[in-house]
Amino acid sequence: MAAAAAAAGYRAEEEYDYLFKVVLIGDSGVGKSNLLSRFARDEFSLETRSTIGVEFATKTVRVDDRLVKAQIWDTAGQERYRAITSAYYRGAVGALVVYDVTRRITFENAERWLKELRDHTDANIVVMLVGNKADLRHLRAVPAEDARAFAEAHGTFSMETSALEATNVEGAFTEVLAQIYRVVSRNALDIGDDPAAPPRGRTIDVSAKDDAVTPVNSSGCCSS
Amino acid sequence: MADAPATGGGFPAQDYPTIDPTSFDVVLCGTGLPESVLAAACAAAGKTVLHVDPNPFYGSLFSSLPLPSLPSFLSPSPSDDPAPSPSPSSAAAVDLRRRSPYSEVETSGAVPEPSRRFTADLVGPRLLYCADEAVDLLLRSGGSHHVEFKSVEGGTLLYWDGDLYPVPDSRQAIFKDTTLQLREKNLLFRFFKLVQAHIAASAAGAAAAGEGEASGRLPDEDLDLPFVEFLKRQNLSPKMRAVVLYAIAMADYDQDGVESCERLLTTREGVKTIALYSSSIGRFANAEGAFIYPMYGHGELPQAFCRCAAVKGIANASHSTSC
Repeated sequence: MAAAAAAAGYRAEEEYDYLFKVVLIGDSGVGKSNLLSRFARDEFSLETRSTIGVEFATKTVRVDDRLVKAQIWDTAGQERYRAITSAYYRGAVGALVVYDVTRRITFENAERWLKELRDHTDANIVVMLVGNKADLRHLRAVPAEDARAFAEAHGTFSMETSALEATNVEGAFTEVLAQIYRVVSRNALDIGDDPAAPPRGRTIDVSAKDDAVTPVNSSGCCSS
Repeated sequence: MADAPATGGGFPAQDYPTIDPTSFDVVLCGTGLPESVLAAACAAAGKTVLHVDPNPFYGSLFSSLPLPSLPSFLSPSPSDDPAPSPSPSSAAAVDLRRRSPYSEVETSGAVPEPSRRFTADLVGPRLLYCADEAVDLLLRSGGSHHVEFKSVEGGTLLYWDGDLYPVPDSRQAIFKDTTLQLREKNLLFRFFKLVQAHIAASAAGAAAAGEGEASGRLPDEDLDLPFVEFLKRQNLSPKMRAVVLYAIAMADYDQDGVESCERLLTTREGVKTIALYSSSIGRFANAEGAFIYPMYGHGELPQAFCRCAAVKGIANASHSTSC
Protein backbone atom coordinates (compact mmCIF):
# COMPACT_ATOMS: atom_id res chain seq x y z
CA MET A 1 0.00 0.00 0.00
CA ALA A 2 2.76 2.40 0.99
CA ALA A 3 4.66 1.49 -2.14
CA ALA A 4 1.63 2.25 -4.29
CA ALA A 5 1.22 5.60 -2.59
CA ALA A 6 4.89 6.37 -3.12
CA ALA A 7 4.62 5.41 -6.77
CA ALA A 8 1.57 7.59 -7.19
CA GLY A 9 3.40 10.44 -5.50
CA TYR A 10 6.36 9.96 -7.81
CA ARG A 11 4.11 10.00 -10.86
CA ALA A 12 2.37 13.14 -9.70
CA GLU A 13 5.76 14.77 -9.18
CA GLU A 14 6.98 13.80 -12.64
CA GLU A 15 3.89 14.68 -14.64
CA TYR A 16 3.79 18.02 -16.41
CA ASP A 17 2.28 19.51 -19.53
CA TYR A 18 5.16 21.75 -20.56
CA LEU A 19 8.88 21.91 -19.90
CA PHE A 20 10.40 25.38 -20.21
CA LYS A 21 14.10 26.16 -20.04
CA VAL A 22 14.82 29.50 -18.37
CA VAL A 23 18.31 30.96 -18.02
CA LEU A 24 19.69 33.36 -15.43
CA ILE A 25 22.22 35.94 -16.63
CA GLY A 26 23.76 39.12 -15.31
CA ASP A 27 26.95 40.34 -13.68
CA SER A 28 28.80 38.40 -11.03
CA GLY A 29 27.48 38.91 -7.50
CA VAL A 30 24.03 40.27 -8.36
CA GLY A 31 22.29 37.34 -6.65
CA LYS A 32 21.36 35.00 -9.49
CA SER A 33 22.07 31.83 -7.52
CA ASN A 34 20.18 33.06 -4.48
CA LEU A 35 17.17 33.92 -6.64
CA LEU A 36 17.29 30.37 -7.96
CA SER A 37 17.71 28.72 -4.56
CA ARG A 38 14.97 30.90 -3.06
CA PHE A 39 12.54 29.98 -5.84
CA ALA A 40 13.40 26.29 -6.15
CA ARG A 41 14.15 25.36 -2.52
CA ASP A 42 13.20 28.43 -0.48
CA GLU A 43 16.82 28.78 0.65
CA PHE A 44 19.18 31.74 0.86
CA SER A 45 22.93 31.84 1.49
CA LEU A 46 24.91 34.86 2.65
CA GLU A 47 28.11 33.35 1.27
CA THR A 48 29.48 35.46 -1.56
CA ARG A 49 31.66 32.97 -3.42
CA SER A 50 31.14 32.22 -7.10
CA THR A 51 28.62 29.49 -7.91
CA ILE A 52 29.95 25.94 -7.94
CA GLY A 53 28.08 22.68 -8.30
CA VAL A 54 24.79 24.06 -9.61
CA GLU A 55 23.81 22.97 -13.10
CA PHE A 56 20.11 23.77 -13.03
CA ALA A 57 17.14 23.47 -10.70
CA THR A 58 13.59 22.45 -11.52
CA LYS A 59 10.24 23.38 -10.09
CA THR A 60 6.74 22.61 -11.31
CA VAL A 61 4.14 25.37 -11.13
CA ARG A 62 0.54 25.64 -12.26
CA VAL A 63 -0.27 28.12 -15.03
CA ASP A 64 -3.86 28.36 -16.31
CA ASP A 65 -4.70 24.84 -15.13
CA ARG A 66 -1.60 23.45 -16.81
CA LEU A 67 1.43 22.01 -15.05
CA VAL A 68 4.57 23.79 -16.19
CA LYS A 69 7.94 22.40 -15.24
CA ALA A 70 10.56 25.14 -15.12
CA GLN A 71 14.14 24.08 -15.71
CA ILE A 72 16.16 27.05 -14.51
CA TRP A 73 19.83 27.17 -15.44
CA ASP A 74 22.53 28.93 -13.45
CA THR A 75 25.76 30.27 -14.93
CA ALA A 76 28.16 28.21 -12.76
CA GLY A 77 30.22 31.38 -12.32
CA GLN A 78 31.13 31.61 -16.00
CA GLU A 79 29.76 35.15 -16.25
CA ARG A 80 32.60 36.41 -14.06
CA TYR A 81 34.98 36.37 -17.03
CA ARG A 82 32.28 36.80 -19.71
CA ALA A 83 32.72 33.12 -20.50
CA ILE A 84 29.18 31.77 -20.79
CA THR A 85 28.97 29.04 -23.42
CA SER A 86 26.59 29.51 -26.34
CA ALA A 87 25.18 26.08 -25.45
CA TYR A 88 23.99 27.56 -22.13
CA TYR A 89 21.43 29.65 -24.03
CA ARG A 90 20.41 26.88 -26.40
CA GLY A 91 16.71 26.08 -26.26
CA ALA A 92 15.93 28.73 -23.64
CA VAL A 93 12.42 30.17 -23.92
CA GLY A 94 12.76 32.52 -20.97
CA ALA A 95 15.49 34.54 -19.29
CA LEU A 96 15.97 36.60 -16.17
CA VAL A 97 18.51 39.38 -16.69
CA VAL A 98 19.52 40.21 -13.14
CA TYR A 99 21.18 43.36 -11.82
CA ASP A 100 21.92 44.62 -8.31
CA VAL A 101 19.93 47.74 -7.38
CA THR A 102 22.87 48.90 -5.23
CA ARG A 103 25.45 48.72 -8.06
CA ARG A 104 24.67 50.97 -11.00
CA ILE A 105 27.26 49.30 -13.25
CA THR A 106 25.39 45.98 -13.06
CA PHE A 107 22.28 47.75 -14.38
CA GLU A 108 24.26 49.39 -17.19
CA ASN A 109 25.71 46.01 -18.14
CA ALA A 110 22.19 44.59 -18.49
CA GLU A 111 22.13 46.01 -22.01
CA ARG A 112 25.16 43.91 -22.94
CA TRP A 113 23.68 40.80 -21.39
CA LEU A 114 20.49 41.44 -23.32
CA LYS A 115 22.49 41.72 -26.54
CA GLU A 116 24.26 38.43 -25.83
CA LEU A 117 20.89 36.85 -25.11
CA ARG A 118 19.41 38.14 -28.38
CA ASP A 119 22.44 36.84 -30.29
CA HIS A 120 21.94 33.32 -29.00
CA THR A 121 18.22 32.77 -28.61
CA ASP A 122 14.86 32.91 -30.34
CA ALA A 123 13.58 36.41 -31.07
CA ASN A 124 10.42 35.65 -29.07
CA ILE A 125 12.18 34.65 -25.86
CA VAL A 126 10.45 36.05 -22.77
CA VAL A 127 12.82 38.32 -20.84
CA MET A 128 12.39 39.67 -17.33
CA LEU A 129 14.70 42.42 -16.07
CA VAL A 130 15.17 41.74 -12.36
CA GLY A 131 16.55 44.29 -9.90
CA ASN A 132 17.70 42.19 -6.96
CA LYS A 133 18.72 43.19 -3.39
CA ALA A 134 15.77 45.57 -3.14
CA ASP A 135 15.92 45.14 0.66
CA LEU A 136 19.06 47.34 0.73
CA ARG A 137 16.99 50.52 0.47
CA HIS A 138 19.63 52.84 1.94
CA LEU A 139 22.18 51.71 -0.69
CA ARG A 140 19.94 51.96 -3.75
CA ALA A 141 21.76 53.23 -6.85
CA VAL A 142 19.18 52.36 -9.53
CA PRO A 143 15.78 54.06 -9.29
CA ALA A 144 12.84 51.79 -10.13
CA GLU A 145 11.78 54.25 -12.87
CA ASP A 146 15.11 53.76 -14.70
CA ALA A 147 14.53 50.02 -14.78
CA ARG A 148 10.95 50.46 -15.99
CA ALA A 149 12.10 52.78 -18.78
CA PHE A 150 14.85 50.35 -19.79
CA ALA A 151 12.41 47.43 -19.85
CA GLU A 152 9.93 49.39 -21.93
CA ALA A 153 12.62 50.45 -24.40
CA HIS A 154 13.84 46.87 -24.84
CA GLY A 155 10.49 45.10 -24.81
CA THR A 156 11.07 43.16 -21.60
CA PHE A 157 9.18 42.77 -18.35
CA SER A 158 10.68 44.16 -15.15
CA MET A 159 10.45 43.54 -11.43
CA GLU A 160 12.41 44.24 -8.27
CA THR A 161 13.15 41.38 -5.90
CA SER A 162 14.87 40.51 -2.67
CA ALA A 163 16.14 36.96 -2.49
CA LEU A 164 17.10 37.61 1.14
CA GLU A 165 13.58 38.66 2.19
CA ALA A 166 11.88 36.41 -0.40
CA THR A 167 10.12 39.40 -1.92
CA ASN A 168 8.74 39.02 -5.47
CA VAL A 169 11.02 36.05 -6.22
CA GLU A 170 8.18 33.63 -6.81
CA GLY A 171 6.36 36.38 -8.68
CA ALA A 172 9.25 37.04 -11.06
CA PHE A 173 9.66 33.40 -12.04
CA THR A 174 5.95 32.61 -12.29
CA GLU A 175 5.34 35.72 -14.39
CA VAL A 176 8.06 34.62 -16.83
CA LEU A 177 6.57 31.12 -17.00
CA ALA A 178 3.06 32.48 -17.48
CA GLN A 179 4.24 34.73 -20.31
CA ILE A 180 6.09 31.84 -21.97
CA TYR A 181 2.96 29.74 -21.69
CA ARG A 182 0.94 32.48 -23.39
CA VAL A 183 3.48 32.77 -26.18
CA VAL A 184 3.54 29.00 -26.69
CA SER A 185 -0.25 28.85 -26.59
CA ARG A 186 -0.34 31.40 -29.40
CA ASN A 187 2.32 29.38 -31.26
CA ALA A 188 4.40 32.52 -31.52
CA LEU A 189 7.71 30.78 -30.88
CA ASP A 190 8.20 30.13 -34.56
CA ILE A 191 11.23 27.94 -35.08
CA GLY A 192 11.95 29.59 -38.40
CA ASP A 193 13.00 32.86 -36.78
CA ASP A 194 15.61 31.39 -34.50
CA PRO A 195 19.13 31.86 -35.82
CA ALA A 196 20.26 28.92 -33.73
CA ALA A 197 17.16 26.79 -34.24
CA PRO A 198 17.57 23.05 -34.65
CA PRO A 199 16.53 21.39 -37.86
CA ARG A 200 13.05 19.91 -37.66
CA GLY A 201 12.98 16.29 -36.57
CA ARG A 202 13.88 14.37 -33.48
CA THR A 203 16.86 14.82 -31.23
CA ILE A 204 18.60 11.98 -29.45
CA ASP A 205 18.86 12.51 -25.72
CA VAL A 206 21.94 10.48 -24.86
CA SER A 207 21.46 11.00 -21.13
CA ALA A 208 18.02 9.39 -20.90
CA LYS A 209 17.81 5.75 -19.90
CA ASP A 210 14.66 4.66 -21.69
CA ASP A 211 13.05 6.33 -24.68
CA ALA A 212 15.80 8.79 -25.40
CA VAL A 213 14.09 11.03 -27.92
CA THR A 214 12.64 14.49 -27.51
CA PRO A 215 10.25 15.52 -30.27
CA VAL A 216 11.15 18.90 -31.72
CA ASN A 217 7.65 20.22 -32.21
CA SER A 218 6.52 23.23 -34.16
CA SER A 219 7.13 25.54 -31.22
CA GLY A 220 10.73 24.44 -31.19
CA CYS A 221 11.09 24.43 -27.46
CA CYS A 222 8.62 22.63 -25.39
CA SER A 223 7.19 19.20 -24.81
CA SER A 224 3.47 19.23 -24.44
CA MET B 1 37.91 27.52 -13.59
CA ALA B 2 38.45 30.11 -16.25
CA ASP B 3 36.91 29.68 -19.72
CA ALA B 4 36.77 31.62 -22.94
CA PRO B 5 33.53 33.43 -23.70
CA ALA B 6 31.01 32.36 -26.28
CA THR B 7 31.10 35.63 -28.12
CA GLY B 8 33.19 38.03 -26.19
CA GLY B 9 29.87 39.48 -25.11
CA GLY B 10 30.84 43.01 -26.10
CA PHE B 11 32.39 43.65 -22.71
CA PRO B 12 35.50 45.85 -22.71
CA ALA B 13 38.70 44.24 -21.51
CA GLN B 14 39.11 46.63 -18.60
CA ASP B 15 35.85 45.30 -17.13
CA TYR B 16 37.41 41.93 -16.45
CA PRO B 17 38.01 41.28 -12.78
CA THR B 18 41.38 40.22 -11.45
CA ILE B 19 41.76 36.47 -11.55
CA ASP B 20 41.37 35.13 -8.06
CA PRO B 21 43.02 33.02 -6.65
CA THR B 22 46.44 33.92 -8.00
CA SER B 23 47.92 30.42 -7.96
CA PHE B 24 46.52 27.26 -9.55
CA ASP B 25 47.35 23.57 -9.67
CA VAL B 26 46.82 23.54 -13.43
CA VAL B 27 46.81 26.22 -16.14
CA LEU B 28 45.34 25.21 -19.49
CA CYS B 29 45.74 27.38 -22.59
CA GLY B 30 43.13 26.92 -25.30
CA THR B 31 39.61 25.52 -25.14
CA GLY B 32 39.93 22.83 -27.79
CA LEU B 33 38.50 19.40 -27.11
CA PRO B 34 41.62 17.91 -25.44
CA GLU B 35 42.10 20.95 -23.18
CA SER B 36 38.41 21.05 -22.26
CA VAL B 37 38.29 17.35 -21.37
CA LEU B 38 41.43 17.86 -19.28
CA ALA B 39 39.88 20.87 -17.55
CA ALA B 40 36.78 18.88 -16.63
CA ALA B 41 38.88 15.93 -15.42
CA CYS B 42 41.15 18.14 -13.30
CA ALA B 43 38.18 19.98 -11.81
CA ALA B 44 36.47 16.67 -11.03
CA ALA B 45 39.67 15.56 -9.28
CA GLY B 46 39.50 18.64 -7.06
CA LYS B 47 42.36 20.57 -8.67
CA THR B 48 42.29 24.35 -8.98
CA VAL B 49 42.34 25.15 -12.68
CA LEU B 50 42.82 28.31 -14.71
CA HIS B 51 41.54 27.85 -18.25
CA VAL B 52 42.42 30.60 -20.73
CA ASP B 53 41.96 31.14 -24.44
CA PRO B 54 43.08 33.99 -26.72
CA ASN B 55 39.92 33.64 -28.83
CA PRO B 56 36.57 35.27 -28.03
CA PHE B 57 34.82 31.91 -28.48
CA TYR B 58 35.08 28.37 -27.19
CA GLY B 59 36.72 25.47 -28.96
CA SER B 60 39.98 26.86 -30.39
CA LEU B 61 40.48 24.85 -33.59
CA PHE B 62 37.63 22.52 -32.57
CA SER B 63 35.02 25.26 -32.98
CA SER B 64 31.87 25.38 -35.04
CA LEU B 65 31.60 28.94 -36.28
CA PRO B 66 28.62 30.75 -37.78
CA LEU B 67 29.46 31.52 -41.41
CA PRO B 68 29.65 35.31 -40.88
CA SER B 69 32.41 34.75 -38.29
CA LEU B 70 34.47 32.46 -40.49
CA PRO B 71 36.43 35.05 -42.56
CA SER B 72 37.59 36.94 -39.46
CA PHE B 73 38.64 33.66 -37.85
CA LEU B 74 40.61 32.56 -40.90
CA SER B 75 42.34 35.94 -41.29
CA PRO B 76 42.29 37.70 -37.93
CA SER B 77 43.49 41.28 -37.87
CA PRO B 78 46.80 41.68 -36.05
CA SER B 79 46.19 41.63 -32.32
CA ASP B 80 46.11 44.90 -30.45
CA ASP B 81 46.93 43.11 -27.23
CA PRO B 82 50.34 44.02 -25.88
CA ALA B 83 52.95 41.32 -25.60
CA PRO B 84 53.11 39.82 -22.12
CA SER B 85 55.29 41.83 -19.79
CA PRO B 86 58.47 40.17 -18.57
CA SER B 87 57.62 37.89 -15.70
CA PRO B 88 59.50 37.39 -12.47
CA SER B 89 62.05 34.60 -12.66
CA SER B 90 59.79 32.28 -10.64
CA ALA B 91 57.00 32.40 -13.24
CA ALA B 92 56.61 31.48 -16.88
CA ALA B 93 55.05 33.93 -19.33
CA VAL B 94 52.50 32.60 -21.78
CA ASP B 95 51.77 34.69 -24.86
CA LEU B 96 48.03 34.47 -25.45
CA ARG B 97 47.79 36.80 -28.42
CA ARG B 98 45.66 35.46 -31.26
CA ARG B 99 47.45 34.08 -34.27
CA SER B 100 46.01 32.82 -37.50
CA PRO B 101 46.21 29.04 -37.70
CA TYR B 102 46.73 29.34 -41.46
CA SER B 103 49.65 30.92 -43.29
CA GLU B 104 47.61 32.17 -46.23
CA VAL B 105 43.85 32.42 -46.69
CA GLU B 106 41.88 33.72 -49.63
CA THR B 107 38.15 34.28 -49.25
CA SER B 108 35.75 35.23 -52.01
CA GLY B 109 32.03 35.35 -52.64
CA ALA B 110 29.16 36.39 -50.44
CA VAL B 111 27.99 34.55 -47.35
CA PRO B 112 24.67 32.80 -48.09
CA GLU B 113 21.49 34.05 -46.44
CA PRO B 114 20.28 33.36 -43.81
CA SER B 115 23.90 32.68 -42.92
CA ARG B 116 23.33 32.45 -39.15
CA ARG B 117 21.60 29.12 -39.79
CA PHE B 118 24.86 27.57 -41.01
CA THR B 119 27.94 26.70 -39.02
CA ALA B 120 31.29 25.48 -40.23
CA ASP B 121 33.07 22.78 -38.24
CA LEU B 122 36.79 23.53 -38.17
CA VAL B 123 37.63 19.88 -37.57
CA GLY B 124 35.90 16.66 -38.47
CA PRO B 125 34.45 14.20 -38.72
CA ARG B 126 31.21 15.31 -37.14
CA LEU B 127 29.78 11.79 -36.84
CA LEU B 128 30.06 9.77 -33.65
CA TYR B 129 29.22 6.12 -33.11
CA CYS B 130 26.38 5.84 -30.58
CA ALA B 131 28.63 3.60 -28.46
CA ASP B 132 31.70 5.81 -28.91
CA GLU B 133 33.94 6.46 -25.91
CA ALA B 134 33.30 10.19 -26.40
CA VAL B 135 29.58 9.60 -25.82
CA ASP B 136 30.36 7.52 -22.72
CA LEU B 137 32.58 10.31 -21.44
CA LEU B 138 29.83 12.87 -21.99
CA LEU B 139 27.44 10.67 -20.02
CA ARG B 140 29.83 10.06 -17.13
CA SER B 141 30.85 13.71 -16.83
CA GLY B 142 27.34 15.14 -17.12
CA GLY B 143 28.32 16.93 -20.32
CA SER B 144 25.47 15.24 -22.16
CA HIS B 145 23.14 17.89 -20.69
CA HIS B 146 24.78 20.42 -22.98
CA VAL B 147 24.88 18.67 -26.34
CA GLU B 148 21.92 17.86 -28.54
CA PHE B 149 22.45 15.02 -30.96
CA LYS B 150 20.62 13.94 -34.07
CA SER B 151 20.63 10.51 -35.60
CA VAL B 152 21.85 9.86 -39.13
CA GLU B 153 18.53 8.66 -40.44
CA GLY B 154 19.18 7.99 -44.11
CA GLY B 155 21.51 5.04 -43.66
CA THR B 156 24.97 4.82 -45.20
CA LEU B 157 25.67 4.92 -48.91
CA LEU B 158 28.66 3.44 -50.70
CA TYR B 159 29.83 4.78 -54.06
CA TRP B 160 30.48 1.68 -56.15
CA ASP B 161 30.89 1.29 -59.90
CA GLY B 162 29.46 4.73 -60.61
CA ASP B 163 26.39 4.25 -58.41
CA LEU B 164 25.37 5.05 -54.86
CA TYR B 165 24.60 1.83 -53.07
CA PRO B 166 22.74 1.55 -49.72
CA VAL B 167 24.91 -0.33 -47.24
CA PRO B 168 23.30 -3.49 -45.84
CA ASP B 169 24.23 -3.06 -42.18
CA SER B 170 21.93 -5.62 -40.53
CA ARG B 171 20.60 -9.13 -41.13
CA GLN B 172 17.32 -7.66 -42.32
CA ALA B 173 19.06 -5.27 -44.72
CA ILE B 174 21.24 -8.05 -46.15
CA PHE B 175 18.19 -10.28 -46.57
CA LYS B 176 16.24 -7.54 -48.40
CA ASP B 177 19.12 -6.43 -50.64
CA THR B 178 18.11 -7.30 -54.20
CA THR B 179 21.54 -6.45 -55.64
CA LEU B 180 23.21 -9.31 -53.75
CA GLN B 181 23.25 -12.87 -55.02
CA LEU B 182 22.26 -15.62 -52.62
CA ARG B 183 25.87 -16.83 -52.36
CA GLU B 184 27.05 -13.30 -51.47
CA LYS B 185 24.36 -13.04 -48.81
CA ASN B 186 25.38 -16.36 -47.29
CA LEU B 187 29.05 -15.38 -47.22
CA LEU B 188 28.23 -12.03 -45.63
CA PHE B 189 25.98 -13.70 -43.02
CA ARG B 190 28.75 -16.18 -42.27
CA PHE B 191 31.33 -13.40 -41.94
CA PHE B 192 29.22 -11.39 -39.51
CA LYS B 193 28.41 -14.53 -37.52
CA LEU B 194 32.14 -15.26 -37.25
CA VAL B 195 32.89 -11.72 -36.08
CA GLN B 196 29.99 -11.70 -33.59
CA ALA B 197 31.20 -15.01 -32.13
CA HIS B 198 34.68 -13.52 -31.70
CA ILE B 199 33.27 -10.39 -30.06
CA ALA B 200 31.11 -12.44 -27.68
CA ALA B 201 34.00 -14.74 -26.79
CA SER B 202 36.34 -11.81 -26.19
CA ALA B 203 33.76 -10.11 -24.00
CA ALA B 204 33.33 -13.29 -21.99
CA GLY B 205 37.09 -13.47 -21.56
CA ALA B 206 37.39 -16.90 -23.21
CA ALA B 207 40.98 -16.37 -24.23
CA ALA B 208 42.52 -19.45 -22.67
CA ALA B 209 45.41 -20.91 -24.66
CA GLY B 210 44.49 -23.96 -26.70
CA GLU B 211 40.79 -23.15 -26.91
CA GLY B 212 41.38 -21.16 -30.11
CA GLU B 213 38.53 -21.22 -32.56
CA ALA B 214 36.53 -23.63 -30.45
CA SER B 215 35.84 -20.74 -28.09
CA GLY B 216 34.69 -18.54 -30.95
CA ARG B 217 37.78 -16.34 -30.82
CA LEU B 218 39.70 -15.67 -34.01
CA PRO B 219 43.30 -16.90 -33.87
CA ASP B 220 45.98 -14.25 -33.29
CA GLU B 221 47.56 -14.84 -36.70
CA ASP B 222 44.24 -13.85 -38.32
CA LEU B 223 43.88 -10.82 -36.06
CA ASP B 224 47.33 -9.58 -37.07
CA LEU B 225 46.58 -9.89 -40.78
CA PRO B 226 45.65 -6.81 -42.82
CA PHE B 227 41.88 -6.68 -42.61
CA VAL B 228 41.54 -6.63 -46.38
CA GLU B 229 43.42 -9.95 -46.56
CA PHE B 230 41.19 -11.49 -43.91
CA LEU B 231 38.11 -10.41 -45.88
CA LYS B 232 39.52 -11.99 -49.02
CA ARG B 233 40.03 -15.23 -47.10
CA GLN B 234 36.34 -15.12 -46.21
CA ASN B 235 35.63 -15.08 -49.97
CA LEU B 236 33.82 -11.74 -49.82
CA SER B 237 33.37 -10.06 -53.20
CA PRO B 238 35.15 -6.72 -53.84
CA LYS B 239 31.88 -4.86 -53.34
CA MET B 240 31.21 -6.59 -50.00
CA ARG B 241 34.80 -5.97 -48.91
CA ALA B 242 34.28 -2.28 -49.65
CA VAL B 243 31.08 -2.28 -47.59
CA VAL B 244 32.86 -3.80 -44.59
CA LEU B 245 36.06 -1.76 -44.92
CA TYR B 246 34.70 1.70 -45.62
CA ALA B 247 31.05 1.82 -44.56
CA ILE B 248 31.27 -0.22 -41.37
CA ALA B 249 34.93 -0.33 -40.27
CA MET B 250 35.33 3.29 -41.49
CA ALA B 251 38.82 2.85 -42.94
CA ASP B 252 40.36 6.23 -43.82
CA TYR B 253 42.63 5.10 -46.65
CA ASP B 254 42.34 2.87 -49.70
CA GLN B 255 43.00 -0.55 -48.19
CA ASP B 256 43.46 -2.36 -51.51
CA GLY B 257 46.67 -0.57 -52.44
CA VAL B 258 48.71 -2.43 -49.83
CA GLU B 259 51.98 -0.90 -51.07
CA SER B 260 50.80 2.70 -51.15
CA CYS B 261 48.33 2.64 -48.24
CA GLU B 262 49.33 5.08 -45.49
CA ARG B 263 47.35 3.27 -42.81
CA LEU B 264 46.60 -0.40 -43.30
CA LEU B 265 43.86 -1.64 -40.99
CA THR B 266 44.56 -4.89 -39.14
CA THR B 267 41.85 -7.49 -38.61
CA ARG B 268 42.05 -6.76 -34.87
CA GLU B 269 41.21 -3.09 -35.51
CA GLY B 270 38.58 -3.92 -38.09
CA VAL B 271 36.79 -6.37 -35.81
CA LYS B 272 36.95 -3.85 -32.96
CA THR B 273 35.26 -1.23 -35.15
CA ILE B 274 32.61 -3.70 -36.28
CA ALA B 275 31.95 -4.43 -32.58
CA LEU B 276 31.60 -0.69 -31.98
CA TYR B 277 29.29 -0.39 -34.98
CA SER B 278 27.04 -3.25 -33.90
CA SER B 279 26.84 -2.07 -30.28
CA SER B 280 25.97 1.41 -31.57
CA ILE B 281 22.90 0.19 -33.44
CA GLY B 282 19.95 0.35 -31.06
CA ARG B 283 21.88 1.90 -28.19
CA PHE B 284 19.52 4.87 -28.06
CA ALA B 285 15.83 4.56 -28.72
CA ASN B 286 14.87 6.11 -32.05
CA ALA B 287 18.46 6.54 -33.18
CA GLU B 288 17.94 4.65 -36.39
CA GLY B 289 21.49 3.72 -37.31
CA ALA B 290 24.89 3.52 -35.68
CA PHE B 291 25.73 7.21 -35.94
CA ILE B 292 24.74 10.43 -34.21
CA TYR B 293 26.11 13.93 -34.63
CA PRO B 294 26.06 17.10 -32.51
CA MET B 295 23.21 19.12 -33.97
CA TYR B 296 25.02 22.44 -33.76
CA GLY B 297 28.45 21.16 -34.73
CA HIS B 298 31.49 19.62 -33.11
CA GLY B 299 32.15 22.89 -31.30
CA GLU B 300 29.48 21.87 -28.80
CA LEU B 301 31.69 19.11 -27.37
CA PRO B 302 34.45 21.34 -25.91
CA GLN B 303 31.77 23.70 -24.59
CA ALA B 304 30.05 20.83 -22.81
CA PHE B 305 33.25 19.84 -21.02
CA CYS B 306 34.06 23.48 -20.17
CA ARG B 307 30.63 23.82 -18.61
CA CYS B 308 31.21 20.61 -16.60
CA ALA B 309 34.48 22.04 -15.38
CA ALA B 310 32.85 25.34 -14.42
CA VAL B 311 30.12 23.57 -12.46
CA LYS B 312 32.86 21.79 -10.53
CA GLY B 313 34.48 25.14 -9.85
CA ILE B 314 37.29 26.14 -12.16
CA ALA B 315 38.16 29.68 -13.21
CA ASN B 316 37.26 30.60 -16.80
CA ALA B 317 39.19 33.56 -18.15
CA SER B 318 38.59 35.23 -21.45
CA HIS B 319 40.52 36.07 -24.54
CA SER B 320 41.72 39.34 -23.09
CA THR B 321 43.51 37.66 -20.24
CA SER B 322 47.23 37.12 -20.40
CA CYS B 323 49.11 35.07 -17.89
